[in-house]
Amino acid sequence: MRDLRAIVAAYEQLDAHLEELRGAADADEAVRDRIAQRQRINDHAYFVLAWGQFESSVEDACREAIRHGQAQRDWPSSRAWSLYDPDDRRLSGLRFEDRLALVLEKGSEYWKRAIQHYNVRNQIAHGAMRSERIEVTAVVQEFYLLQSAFAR
Amino acid sequence: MGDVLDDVTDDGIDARHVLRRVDDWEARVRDLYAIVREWLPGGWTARDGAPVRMHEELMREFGVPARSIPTLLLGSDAGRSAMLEPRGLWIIGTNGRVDMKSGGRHYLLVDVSGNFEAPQWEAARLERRLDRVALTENWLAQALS
Repeated sequence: MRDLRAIVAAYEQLDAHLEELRGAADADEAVRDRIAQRQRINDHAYFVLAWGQFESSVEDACREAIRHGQAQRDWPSSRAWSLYDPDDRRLSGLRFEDRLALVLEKGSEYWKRAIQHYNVRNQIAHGAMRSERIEVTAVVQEFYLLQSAFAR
Repeated sequence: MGDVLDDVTDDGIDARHVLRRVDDWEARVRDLYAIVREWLPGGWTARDGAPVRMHEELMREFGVPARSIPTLLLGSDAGRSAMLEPRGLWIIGTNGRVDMKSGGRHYLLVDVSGNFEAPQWEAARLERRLDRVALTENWLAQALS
């Protein structure tokens, strides 16, 4: 997630600028609503950017876990890992949910949280803008927390 | 218990839940104002400001009527002023946000608790949101100084 801090910095700068415009609009409801909509779009755009960083870190951890598993000396421990190719760009066609399950226990609170964010990301990325704002900085902090729980 | 992310991704929520969340939000905002009044430095006073209208998407979706949520105006003997304004409940990553503007500075006060839990308010400058700290009497005094 090497670009995450730069993404957060850009997000904060832009949102602060939009807040300034909102403040300058004073009591003009129409202008304030228009700015609020831009803030929401900005939230969503940066959320998707931040998600990309998180997803990439899942992939890296996943490849590491596969390599580690395949390096086990005893076949009973390594046989399941041999099904996957850590060097394959698409990780042997594993769905994101399954890739995530290789680094976070499937069904655990952390796994569920990541999947919820994934669902939000999918809605936005596939054209269904959400009505809620997203506090991107807070979500990024949660991405760091989830990343720290990865088993490698 | 859950949080905003659960609310907005769970197909099982209903109007009763949304109404409870709005009631809870209004109560948390009022409680926050009570705390701020209690912590005001000497020479500062507080009074109710014009309320803001709350009618977020989940409220509209479940037919929950719009609600007026109060703002809070702060003023000092020295002629300084500040304002607290609720900005929203359903913001992914928080359990509600109240903005505070004071002397040209803009702060975010966010509740980081889960749904229906005791509030845990944290504060940050708008442009430095990663540097979030607990909302305390000392923090308020500095923000108003």
